[in-house]
Amino acid sequence: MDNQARILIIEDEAAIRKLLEIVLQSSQFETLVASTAQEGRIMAASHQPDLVLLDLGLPDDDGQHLLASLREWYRQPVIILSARSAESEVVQALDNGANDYLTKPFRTGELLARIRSALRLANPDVVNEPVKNYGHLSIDFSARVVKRNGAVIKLTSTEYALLALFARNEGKVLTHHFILREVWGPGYVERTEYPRVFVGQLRKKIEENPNRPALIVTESGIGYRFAG
Amino acid sequence: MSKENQNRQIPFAIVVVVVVAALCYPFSGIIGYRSVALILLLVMSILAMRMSLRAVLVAAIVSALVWDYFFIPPHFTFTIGNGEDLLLIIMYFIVALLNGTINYRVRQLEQVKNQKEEREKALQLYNTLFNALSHELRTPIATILGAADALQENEASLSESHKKELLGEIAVGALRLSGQVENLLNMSRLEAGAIQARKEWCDVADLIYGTLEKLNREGQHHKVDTSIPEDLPLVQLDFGLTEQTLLNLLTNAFRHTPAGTRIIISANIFSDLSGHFEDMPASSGGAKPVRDDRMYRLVIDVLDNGPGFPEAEISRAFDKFYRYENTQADGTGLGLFIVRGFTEAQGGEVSLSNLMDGGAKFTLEFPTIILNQATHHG
Repeated sequence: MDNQARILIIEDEAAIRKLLEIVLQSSQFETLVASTAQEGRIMAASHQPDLVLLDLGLPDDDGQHLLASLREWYRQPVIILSARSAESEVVQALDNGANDYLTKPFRTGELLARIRSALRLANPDVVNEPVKNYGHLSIDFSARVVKRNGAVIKLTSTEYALLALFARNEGKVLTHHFILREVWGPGYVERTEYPRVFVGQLRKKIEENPNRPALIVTESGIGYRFAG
Repeated sequence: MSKENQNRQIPFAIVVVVVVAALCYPFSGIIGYRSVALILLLVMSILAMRMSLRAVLVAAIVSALVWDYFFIPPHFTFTIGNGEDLLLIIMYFIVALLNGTINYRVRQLEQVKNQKEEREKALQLYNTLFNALSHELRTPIATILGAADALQENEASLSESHKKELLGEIAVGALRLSGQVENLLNMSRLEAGAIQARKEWCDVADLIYGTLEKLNREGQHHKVDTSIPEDLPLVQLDFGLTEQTLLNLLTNAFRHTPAGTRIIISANIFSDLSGHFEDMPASSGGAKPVRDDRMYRLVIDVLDNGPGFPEAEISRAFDKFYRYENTQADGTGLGLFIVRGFTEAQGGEVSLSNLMDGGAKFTLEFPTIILNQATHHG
C-alpha cells in the first residue's frame, strides 16, 4: 500500500490539528492542514488529497455544507470527525457522501486503521474480482452464488441484494436510510424495520456466531458496516 | 400544612367540641357546670396542639357559646345570671385563646428549626457528594498534568520504562476523565430536558450483544451470560439511549461486584396482560414482517450473584451523585442517575431489588409495539 498518501485535515481546533499532523506524519502520510471551511475547499481543489479528514464543527461554514460541495467533484474518501452523542449529524454526513466517521475522543490506532481501510477500498489493487473471499465466506458476484466453508448457502433475493450491497461497500458505514434506498427502493425509506429484520436473517446464514457478528457489524443508532 | 387540610380543621374542631359537650350534658347535674368548663378547656388545649390558629379561635367561640347556652343557668338561653359566671366565661374565652396562640407559636418555632436542620443536612450531603465528584475529576487531571510535566522537564534523565509508565498514566487518566465528563454532560442534558428519545425499530439481541462487545475489557474478570429468546420480536427503542443505559448498568456491575461474579442479562417481551410473549399470535410466515400494534412490555434484567445492594440504600440508588456508602470503587455517582433518566426519557421504568440468594437485580421495562421477525422471505 502506498503510505505516501496525502491527507487533508480540515479542523479548527489547533491542538487536535497538531495531534493529527504528528500522528499521520509519523505513519508516513503526507499532511495538509486547513482551519476553516473556505481554506479546506481551496486546499482540496488545489492539492487533490487522497483522503480528507473533516471536522463537522467549523467556525465559518456548516461542515455538512462543505461535505456536500466537496462531493460535487471530489471522489476520494472523506472521514468525518464528530462529537459524541451526535448520531443524527453522523447519519446526515454519511448520507451526504462521507465514507466513515470517528467520534471524539478517538484513539489514534483506530484513526489510522480507518484511514488505511478507506484508502485501500478507494484504490483496490485488483479491480472487479468476480469472486471475493471473506474468511469462511465467499461471494461469486457473476454467478450470484454465496458459499460458507465451501458449501453453497441459500439466500433469498433480498438477502443476496443486501449482502452484495454490503460487499460492494466493504468497510464503509451504511446508514439504514441508504440501505433501504439501495435494496428496497426510494419508496421504502420509512420502513426502518426491514434492515433490522433482514440483517438478522442474513447474519444467521453467513456469520459463524450470529450473536457476535464479524462480517456485518452494527454501528449504534447509525447503521451497519461490512467488515469483510 | 396544606390549605385544604386547614379548611377541614374548622368543621372537625366544631364537631369535637359539640361531641364532648353532648357527652358532658347528662352529667352536668352531678359534676356541676363549672367543671364542664374545665373539661372543655382541656379539649381546647388538646386541639391547640394540632390545629391552625383559626380553627382554635372558632372552637373557642363555639365552645364558649355551647357552654353558655346549655350549661350556665338559666339553660337554653345566652343570658348569664350572675357576675361570677360572666367573669368565668370571659376568663374561659381568654385562656382558650392564649392556649391556642402559645401552642401555635411553639409549633411554628419548631417548624422553622426543623427546616433549618433539614437544609443543613441537605447542604452537608451535597458537600460530601460534591467533594467526591471533584475528587473524581481532579485526580485524573493531576495525574495527567504531573506526568506531562515530568516528561517535559526530565526528558533526559527518565529511563525508557519510566517514560512508558508516565505515558500510560496519561492515557488512563484521560480515559477516566473522558468517561466522567460524558456522564456530567449527559446529566446536564437530562436536567435541561434536552434528551429527546428517537424511537426506531431495534433488534434487542443485537443491542445487548453489541453492548457486551464494547465492554470486553472492563468485563474480563466477570462471567457474563445472556438469556435472550431466539427470534425476539423487534421493538421500538432509542438505540443510543438504551445502549448507554446498558453500558452504565454493566459498568456498575463490573465495578461494584468482586472479580469472578456472575452477571446475567436477560430480555423478554410480555403482553400487557402479563402473558409471556409466546402467547402472541403466531407468525403467519408470510412475505413481510408481522407488525402488531398492541402494546407490549420489553423487560431487560441485569442481575448478578454478588453481595447485593444494602437494602436501606436501594431507594436512593438512582439519585444524582449517590454513591454507595463506604464504597471503594471510583465513580461520580451519576451512572445510575443517567440510567433512570435515559429510561424514563423513553417512557420506561427502572427498578432495583435484591435477589433471595444474594446479588442485585436491575430491571428495565419499556412499553412498546412489536414486530414479529420469524423467518421471512422477500
